[in-house]
Amino acid sequence: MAQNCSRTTKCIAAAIVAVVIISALTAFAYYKSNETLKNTAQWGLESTAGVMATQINASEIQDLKPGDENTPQYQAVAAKLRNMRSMDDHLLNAYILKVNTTDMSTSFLVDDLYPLDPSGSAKIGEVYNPPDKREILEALSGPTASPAPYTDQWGSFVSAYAPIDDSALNSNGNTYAVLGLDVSADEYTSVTDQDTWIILSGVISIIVVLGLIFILGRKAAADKT
Amino acid sequence: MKTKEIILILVLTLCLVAVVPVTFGDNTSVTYPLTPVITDVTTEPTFMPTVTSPVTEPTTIPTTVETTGMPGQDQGWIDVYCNVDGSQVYFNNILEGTTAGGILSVQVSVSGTPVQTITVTQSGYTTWTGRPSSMPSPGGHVTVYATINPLTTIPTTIPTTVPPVSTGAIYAQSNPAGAAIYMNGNFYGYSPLTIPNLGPGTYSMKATLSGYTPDTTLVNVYAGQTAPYYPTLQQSPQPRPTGSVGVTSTPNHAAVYIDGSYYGVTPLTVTLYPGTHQFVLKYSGYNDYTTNVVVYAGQTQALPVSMSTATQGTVVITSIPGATVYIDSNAVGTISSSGSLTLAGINMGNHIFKVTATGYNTWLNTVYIQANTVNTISAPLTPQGVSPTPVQPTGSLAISSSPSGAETYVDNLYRGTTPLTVTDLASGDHLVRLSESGYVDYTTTTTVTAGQLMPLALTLTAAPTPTPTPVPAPGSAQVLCILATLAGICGYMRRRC
Repeated sequence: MAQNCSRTTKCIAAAIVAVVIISALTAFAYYKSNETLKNTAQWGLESTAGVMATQINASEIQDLKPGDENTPQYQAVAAKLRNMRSMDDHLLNAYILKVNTTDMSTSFLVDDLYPLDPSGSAKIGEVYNPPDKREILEALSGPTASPAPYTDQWGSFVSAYAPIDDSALNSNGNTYAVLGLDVSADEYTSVTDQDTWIILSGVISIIVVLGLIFILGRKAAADKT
Repeated sequence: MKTKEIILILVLTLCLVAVVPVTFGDNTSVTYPLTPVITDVTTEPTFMPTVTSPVTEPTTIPTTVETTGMPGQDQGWIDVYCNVDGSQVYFNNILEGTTAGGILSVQVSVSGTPVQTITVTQSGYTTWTGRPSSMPSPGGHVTVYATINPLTTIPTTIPTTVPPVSTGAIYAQSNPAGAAIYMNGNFYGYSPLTIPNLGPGTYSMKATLSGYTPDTTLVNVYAGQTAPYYPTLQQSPQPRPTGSVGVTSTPNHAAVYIDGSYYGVTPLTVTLYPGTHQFVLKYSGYNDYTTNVVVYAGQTQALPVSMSTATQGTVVITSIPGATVYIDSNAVGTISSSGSLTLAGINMGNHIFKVTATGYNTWLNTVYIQANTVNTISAPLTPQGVSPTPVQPTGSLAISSSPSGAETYVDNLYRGTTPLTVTDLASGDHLVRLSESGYVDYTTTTTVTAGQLMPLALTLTAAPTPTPTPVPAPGSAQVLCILATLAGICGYMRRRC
């Protein structure tokens, strides 16, 4: 009886140790993998936004004012944004925001969807209160991306922002506006959730190890008797 | 007893008569303050401080006191006291003098015109106007007190008050110093610097310096505080060193391919990373030139290439899969399942091509292989014993040349010598080439129309006569070498003999 208790205790202890080790490794691997996936997705978005921003000349947008949505100048910039965005089907929307550095308010300057859907798109001067205002503010200095999906009146997105500098206007490289890119939150989540298999494999590993311990323990007990 | 009482009453009366004037004099000689009474009331400022400076008119009551003087004189004195020396005193608008030591005593006639108005003026001061209470008695004095106030006593400027602090600042100091500092995307200057008068809030900061990776961050500014921004810039990765290769060729304008990528035509200088790179030069009519070049960092090296005239070409034969291909009676391969066979390194010139397959008629033709060119040959095989399938409409070419007798090739297939008529040509473009000794080969593309005979008259250009290369006269060094060799042989022979 004492031997049985000792053997049972050893099996339980082995099982606990195995579960703890496998769980810790699984959690660590999942955390690292998820972080890497998120960083990769954000870097990709930031790079895309940064490259697109370099293709916009501040002189093309500096004269735009409310009501100019149907002018050739606006249409040309919108078409350029749409052409660049079309290189990746995951990009849902590209737009240009003007940040008022006095009160940090944000308003739309160009929305590439306007020529296709005037009623459902933002117009020039339309004030935007973005959930990720901090990222937009930071984009005055360099490319940024939403740390997580957000939801506004148009849906759930992850966005990337990059500064459009006014070097063409012969300045010191000041930021004139901010270019924004939207990716569907579902797309983003599907990318960052690609490592769910790690958790699944961890659970399966635990089950297998527990099963083995159970079977071997029973076999050892049978051999003893 | 009655006498005593009377004496006492008299004494008391005398005392009373003697004392009362003195007591009155003391009481009426009350002086009034001469200093201006100005009250500056400054209320505690809210945002814009409001300062009120009510100036109350000095309540100076001119008081005249008649002093009893010497009786029997017609003159009396009016003493005008003023708080500012140098003030001008007017009696009935007539200047009487200026005050000194705080007083001006004016002698007046007691029986003359009484003084109705006394005016005291001083530049920069208010004007005092009054009148004596009465004219002095002969030999007596009447005192008048006049107080004047500076006109500038009312402050005209808003006193500086310290408003409550509502802004903050950002102090930027980069490591290394000298970085360009941007706030909210706008350039502000070079580090170290302070950006003052910033409202409380969050600001987007950026520091850039050539050779360093830019730093960006958000900085929170609070009222009355200076927020620090101390970016430590990391050096940008050093660019990999490179080397250069200057490629020249004979002839010029050869296409240059490096590691499989087209770079341009010669002469050309390319910048490459250190290591071994494969250079391939291509030029029509010349053999491809391939070589490996080791590029060293920071060095520029030359790659002069003399391209050799091409002597070989490539042939692509299309026919039915499994057919055997012969060149000049030598089997060289079998048509693959894709229906073609590629043969490289075929010497330039005419070759007899034969394509055979079991159950098919043999295809035999003379083909001219152009050097350094992919020559495409179509060898359609017709089944034996089967009536030929109706062919598609064809056209013909009537080719003549000047001079005549030129070998004629149509689509690289030898068709005979000019003049000749080439029939059974499918409609479309065909490559016609005439070749005759002593003349430059003539190649042209002509279009054949189905059912028509197209004339094609060509004139060959005589090839330039090669200039005989003069045999270089042996140089003195060569002569000396020959002589030395001969002398050596002679010496050897003599020793042997």
